[in-house]
Amino acid sequence: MTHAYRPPAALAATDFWMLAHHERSGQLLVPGRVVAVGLAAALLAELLVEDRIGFDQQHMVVPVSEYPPRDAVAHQVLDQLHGEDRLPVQVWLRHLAQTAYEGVAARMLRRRLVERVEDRRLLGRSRVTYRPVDPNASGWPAARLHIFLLEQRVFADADVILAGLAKVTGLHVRALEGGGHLAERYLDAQIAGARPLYRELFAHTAAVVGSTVMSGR
Amino acid sequence: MSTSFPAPVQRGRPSNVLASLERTRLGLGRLIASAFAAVAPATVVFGGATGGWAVTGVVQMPLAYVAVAVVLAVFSVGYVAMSRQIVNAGAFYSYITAGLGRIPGVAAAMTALQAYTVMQIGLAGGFGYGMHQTLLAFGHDVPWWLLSGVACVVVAVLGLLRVDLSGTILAVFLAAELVIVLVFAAVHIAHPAGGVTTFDALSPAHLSFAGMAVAACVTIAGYVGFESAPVYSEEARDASRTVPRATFITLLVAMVVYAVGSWAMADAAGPGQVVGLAATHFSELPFVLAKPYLGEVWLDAGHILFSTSLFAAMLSFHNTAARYTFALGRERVLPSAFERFNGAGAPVWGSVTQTLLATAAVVLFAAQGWDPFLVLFFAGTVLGGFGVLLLMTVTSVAVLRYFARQRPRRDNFGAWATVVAPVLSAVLLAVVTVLTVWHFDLLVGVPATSAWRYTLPASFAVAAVVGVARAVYLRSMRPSAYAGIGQGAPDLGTAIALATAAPAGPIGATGPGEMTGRGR
Repeated sequence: MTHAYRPPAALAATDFWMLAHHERSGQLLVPGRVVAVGLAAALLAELLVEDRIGFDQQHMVVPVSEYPPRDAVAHQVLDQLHGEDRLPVQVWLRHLAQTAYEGVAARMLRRRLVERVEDRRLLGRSRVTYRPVDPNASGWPAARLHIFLLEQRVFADADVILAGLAKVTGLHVRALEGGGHLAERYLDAQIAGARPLYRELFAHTAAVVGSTVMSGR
Repeated sequence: MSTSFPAPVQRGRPSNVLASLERTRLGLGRLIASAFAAVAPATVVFGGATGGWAVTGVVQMPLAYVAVAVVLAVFSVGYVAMSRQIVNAGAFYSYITAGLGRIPGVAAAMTALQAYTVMQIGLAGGFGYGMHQTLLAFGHDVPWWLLSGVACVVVAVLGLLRVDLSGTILAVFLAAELVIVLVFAAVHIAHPAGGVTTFDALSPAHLSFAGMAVAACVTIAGYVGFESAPVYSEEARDASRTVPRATFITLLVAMVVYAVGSWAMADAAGPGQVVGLAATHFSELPFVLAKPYLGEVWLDAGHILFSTSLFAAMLSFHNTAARYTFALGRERVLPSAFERFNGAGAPVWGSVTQTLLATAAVVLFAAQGWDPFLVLFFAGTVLGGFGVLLLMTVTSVAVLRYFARQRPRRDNFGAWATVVAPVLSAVLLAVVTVLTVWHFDLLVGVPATSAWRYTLPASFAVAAVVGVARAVYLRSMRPSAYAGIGQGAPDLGTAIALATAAPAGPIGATGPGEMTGRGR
């Protein structure tokens, strides 16, 4: 299992996308609304990791650097952040969640990680899903999280972010399978030990996910 | 759940982000519809008022509907002012936490959970009974428990699929319900008993304090659901305006429909006979009274809408209770399993628990041969209403204390909303509570010597004590979870002080963490 030490795909939203979809069928594992909020949080996390944004005392997002990110979607997000006055993290999460799914899907398509599949339905409407090109690659973030939790390996920053976002969107349940109470405690300890900025992002994401589930919208 | 939205224009610069979010939010109509789903006019007029007469023997139910609406309106003044300060989907519970501290908050959460659960169970029985009567009108005799059981299964499936009767379907049914209640009322008013219209049912003469308090508690059960608009304050468009409006409009419309509908029945039956007739016919009373003057189609429509109304209310309380367990699971007040949601976004274990409890109650009542209408439906919903009465009383005190500590905010809302109205509603609701507890035997229709008159109200005390115990446990064993109580966020092993106040409006930006570090 040497390749178990291979790092995640490095971009949080890409990893989160893979975690949130079935590695073969490409089906969503939690409700679409929740995935959208998780992807929005992952997009902010990408900018946090590179120190392009920060949060202030009033829980507002503060753009720090204008140096353009390499990824087009991250670039777009950063442009939006620069184009506005400071707004609360939760407002940004809700806003980005409106377009995060399509945005990250475009990134996944560009990198040939998924392919677009159109389901023709008997009655008119067709539905678009994104099927992973390589089930092994697609299943990797989930598998890595699973292995790391069960074997209590040392988390890298990218692992902590993915684990935290998984926890607040309910995606951690699959990763904990077979790990019992110990794995769960290890996960909680990793999240509790994350950088304060990440923990704050997790808490805001959790609040938005919670209100999405509560209000059913 | 914590930070609410600032107005779309900040510091003079228009925000595309806030404008785009504004478009996705709920308008006034949706807020009112969501409140009315639980309020269910036909259920209250045909089932609640007739049950009230049959069980309590108080003629003045119509008067109680008016008086209680006024008290609830006074309560709502402080309640909606609070909803602009604390945006959290578990309204009563989070307000009590913010005003009185975490331990009373968790006690309130348990009480609320019990109240909504009992309400749902009562409505399951009510649906079985109402549907039984409907099918009888069509010539089929199907036992009530079978129909209640089917309703439990259907509600379980809809609950897990995350189906809320909302939007158009709900609006159509509500409109039909209102029309049918008013048509029946018109027929009743046109044919008063003995040909003479009387207003005895609206007159406080010959009414004892006990009778008034018991009638008030019965009618409060009919209004439960009006408190739901602030739950959506985070999702509402222009919440500071639409949420109060939705609350007051719901109260006003419900009051008019309840008072007119029930007074018309009392008028048609005759104030002297209405109690006796209600005790014979129960929810069939409006149909019996209208039968000589209304076509078969109207009676059938009335029966069907009575059943659908009960079903909508049952589904609404099922979802409310399930979401409550979800919110409490997130904050670790309940076990974390309740935090899970399924692929449809439904809180799985909360929903399953509600289904199991309702089914168990139906099975128990069927096996024991207990009355589905008087006991399961009426006593169940009234008991739920009593729980909400307790919560509203404590919430009034919480609102008062919250604003007493937040001077700038108090000045912003004025003394009426932050001092006078909360004091007034706390006193009025407390009086009703005390008198109701004193005369609980009248309320649920048991003999004065029955132990039920003590055990039923005491069950809420048990729920509250369980809540206190859980809060004390969390304080010593899991401080980070304790710190997060009432914050709407899960325990992430860290007490991040999420801003609990809305920075909207002229209050100005409020600092974060005003809830934490107070060491309660």
